[in-house]
Amino acid sequence: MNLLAQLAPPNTFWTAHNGSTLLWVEIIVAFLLGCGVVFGLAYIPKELRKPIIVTATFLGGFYFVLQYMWPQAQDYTKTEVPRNSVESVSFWLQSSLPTVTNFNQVLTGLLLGLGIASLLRVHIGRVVKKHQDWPYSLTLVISMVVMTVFGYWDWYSKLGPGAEKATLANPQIFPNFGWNFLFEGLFINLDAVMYSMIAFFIFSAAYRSFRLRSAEATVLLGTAVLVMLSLMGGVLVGWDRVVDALGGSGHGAVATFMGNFRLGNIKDWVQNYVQSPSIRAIEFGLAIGLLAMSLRLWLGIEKGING
Amino acid sequence: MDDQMDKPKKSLGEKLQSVSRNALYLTLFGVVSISLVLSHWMGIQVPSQPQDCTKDAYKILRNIPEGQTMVIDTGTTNASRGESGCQMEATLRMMMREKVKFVLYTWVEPQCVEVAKSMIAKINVERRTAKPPQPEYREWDDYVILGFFPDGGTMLQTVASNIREAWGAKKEKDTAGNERGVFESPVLQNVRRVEDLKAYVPISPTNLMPTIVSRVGRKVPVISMCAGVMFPEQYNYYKSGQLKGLLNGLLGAVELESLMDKGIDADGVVGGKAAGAPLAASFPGQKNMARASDYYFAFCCAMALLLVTILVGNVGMMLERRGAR
Repeated sequence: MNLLAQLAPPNTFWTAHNGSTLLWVEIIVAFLLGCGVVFGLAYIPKELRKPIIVTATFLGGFYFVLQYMWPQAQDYTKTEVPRNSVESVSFWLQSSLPTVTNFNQVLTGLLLGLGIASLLRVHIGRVVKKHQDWPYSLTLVISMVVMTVFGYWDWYSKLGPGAEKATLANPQIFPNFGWNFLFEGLFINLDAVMYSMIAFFIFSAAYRSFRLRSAEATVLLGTAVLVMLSLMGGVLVGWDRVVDALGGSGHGAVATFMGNFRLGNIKDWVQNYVQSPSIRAIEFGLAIGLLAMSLRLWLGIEKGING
Repeated sequence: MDDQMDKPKKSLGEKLQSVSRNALYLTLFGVVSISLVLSHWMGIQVPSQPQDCTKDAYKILRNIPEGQTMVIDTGTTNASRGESGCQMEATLRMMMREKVKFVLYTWVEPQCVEVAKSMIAKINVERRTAKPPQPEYREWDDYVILGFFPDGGTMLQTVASNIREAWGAKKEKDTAGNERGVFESPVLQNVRRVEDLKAYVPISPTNLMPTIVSRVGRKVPVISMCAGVMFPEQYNYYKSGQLKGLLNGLLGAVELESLMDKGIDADGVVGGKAAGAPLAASFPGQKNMARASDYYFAFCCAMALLLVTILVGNVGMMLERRGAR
């Protein structure tokens, strides 16, 4: 008995071998078909487009509603035979999920491609027409192309068909060096710089806005200061030691009144009884709004969905 | 010239309220830079008191049996190196020391996997150069990388239902350079259902929790390592029991490093010496206090500076009000 039979699927149309001509043909045909569908939808009359989009959205949504609502078969195997119609639907839902998931991955990947195409169209247009700040657009296009070329070149040299597996510790041919320089050397450091700039804006904004202008602002500021102090380990430990020395409770000791004034306990109280319930309420509100919006999209009554 | 002469002189209160943006930026830059350098050179260790959510996370991660498999769902980029980067490094160190195998993937950004690979390489160098040297963690034998899933929600839905179908199409090169399905690797060969995974650890500054806990939260312990800004939102999931552990940004990473250094004894006390098997042992004699601890002093200094500037602004406002009366 081959226990690992599922690991070696037969080489069919759906499981073409990596690097095979069949796989490449399939990818190219699927890509062209995908582009055809997307561009086709953009050019057909609105009256025809609307029912197609609404129907596709409803069916897609209905499938996942069923996934959640329909009774699930426990420990389902593909060889099992359904005993009734409920089980038939359940088995079909479970067996089709991987295919739907793969389809979704491809579709979302295609959306990434659409995003890239759109970005290139906009910025190449700006460069060609010499719009204001066109050098920035040129920089973006060059960066994108160079990063893509070196990314694929590096991947192909390390992991492509017939390549010897290289590791980060064991590079260094030209594409690996180029990729490392662009990604490790430039991109991720620029990424860190962009994010760290936020700290400066937060700092300046906190200085200008955290003022005791009203009772509400005082409560807010007082709470914020306590939470900020509790994030500073040295202050937290020092404060609690002082409270303990004044007759509070140590770890594991019987709680005393003074124990309430340990910074950790104050922070926990704020966190558990003020912050979390408030956020929970906001989250519930958001979730209900999201549910309503999802229903509108699913049922095709949201205006934007019709393009 | 006349304009300058006519310009009314600012009172002290007004001056304290209108410190220029550039001066604030320069002060912050100076304080953070100097404290970071000092912390690194002088090895300044700021004490911490691990929260319950961090302790719970550590207890689960520390007690995964050797050779078992967990998932690292990364959303770590270098933009969040101060928080997620520190959490990722501490987690990788723990897993490698415990000889726990892991699956790594992302559905946040394609670059996350590359960033994680760099961190694995860095910790491998650390292990190679340690005294005594420790074996490197090797792709295929010790961990597998599944790459980027553009649609994480449906992928996780399938993982919960049938993990072998969900990841069955993924291939990796084995140590001999042959391309094989990931379920043939030592990492996943014994994983037949999602319940066979010992932990699911999202390390991401973004909030992935609604998707993750609703798909796999009932089948595998989920431990979230999030950014500080996401902590209050995710804390609800921890309090409701949907998350089994939670790390709060940089502070959480510092607490994790501190727990790796001190452990949790049989009575649940951090660094305690109670008799009996510890709830989560430490890693004595190893590099536990690492990147997060390096950053923590600078973080505390920045926080103190923030409090001082808020105080300055409010003192200025009060002085101005008193002057107006």
